[in-house]
Amino acid sequence: MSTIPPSPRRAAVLKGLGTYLPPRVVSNEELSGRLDTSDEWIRTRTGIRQRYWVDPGTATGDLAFEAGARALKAAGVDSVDAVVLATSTPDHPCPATAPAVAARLGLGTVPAFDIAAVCAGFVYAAASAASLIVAGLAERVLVIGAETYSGILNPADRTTSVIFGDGAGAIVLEAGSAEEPGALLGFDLGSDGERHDLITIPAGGSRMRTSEDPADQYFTMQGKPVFAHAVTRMGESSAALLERIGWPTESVDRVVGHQANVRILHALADFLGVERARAVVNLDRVGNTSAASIPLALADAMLSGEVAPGDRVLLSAFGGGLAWGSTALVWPDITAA
Amino acid sequence: MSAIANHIVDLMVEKFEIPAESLDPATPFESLELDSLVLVELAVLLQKLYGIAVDDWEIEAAATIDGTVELLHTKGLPVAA
Repeated sequence: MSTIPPSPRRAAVLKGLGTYLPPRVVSNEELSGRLDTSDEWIRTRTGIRQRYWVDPGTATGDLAFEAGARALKAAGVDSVDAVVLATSTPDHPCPATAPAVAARLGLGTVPAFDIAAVCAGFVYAAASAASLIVAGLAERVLVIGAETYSGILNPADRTTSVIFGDGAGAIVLEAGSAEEPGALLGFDLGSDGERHDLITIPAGGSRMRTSEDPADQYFTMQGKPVFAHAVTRMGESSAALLERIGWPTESVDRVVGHQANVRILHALADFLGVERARAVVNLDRVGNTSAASIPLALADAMLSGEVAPGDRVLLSAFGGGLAWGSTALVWPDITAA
Repeated sequence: MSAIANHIVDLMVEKFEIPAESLDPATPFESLELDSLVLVELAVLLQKLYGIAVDDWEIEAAATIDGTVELLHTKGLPVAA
């Protein structure tokens, strides 16, 4: 009996990375001027030194367009079969932001849709895009995470106001083999809607169209329980994924967690049992950019050499929903733009 | 002093950079001037170590490491562990 070698498993492979931050830097000092807080408090509680906020008139779709264009350039391509955009700060409640971004990028009439998984959005979007590729519905997909949290922050809330920043990051995924560098090797996704109240904008949706309390139109977060859930959910999700793809924890070179708080990233490293130095941290200069945080952290890690071709990289994110997700890849030889 | 209490002392000294000489199992957390996140971080560590879900406010109410060990026992941690 002749044996035919099994063909390598089809997978979505990372081909390029692009990021964009709006020009205006907002320092801790600037925020300390109008909120009852201080640079020292913000740095010790969160690790954040500065963040970028858009100027009035700039929308999430504008940041998504810039990051998307850069990702396409980095991948050396000018067409894709789909656009998946993760955001919790869309340009409009309706329609999705992705079609307008796709059109502006000159990508024609390809399927384009948004993913609403808050700070876990990028991993969910990557999973959706990878599924389109593995199912044969697409050969190449542009995945974007873009946010303008500055517009939903309660200016009187000194906890959330200092944490969040605006920005966008994008990747190009292309059909390839699970054996090549850059292949997304698997996903672990989950949610816990019992705790949907921990991170929410109370008004503006069908549950509460409008509210007499102006605070209801803003983003709210219960910091302490969110901290604890973030560490345990990302930790358990990462461990489950590593087990499934057969990577011993000690073989992971870099852990790129959602950039919410440096103390969450350190606690995640402790939870997993990897050295804290393996945790990629860039929130000190961009803050928490929600769905944009993972590609922004990856771009900085590429620039600093913290992530290099051949490295085993674990990505894990957590956010409102609650929702969380993890994926992993061997870092490919790509460019970032 | 239980082995678990000793372990938690070591853990807090190592992870939260608390001077060893200022911490023993009977030290009130309140006297350490910990910032608001430390007990959350401790709760996460204890959950991972002992597999028992515990909230920061429960640790805060337990007031000391001895009290926290008692809390863990009431939540099912075997006394001989």
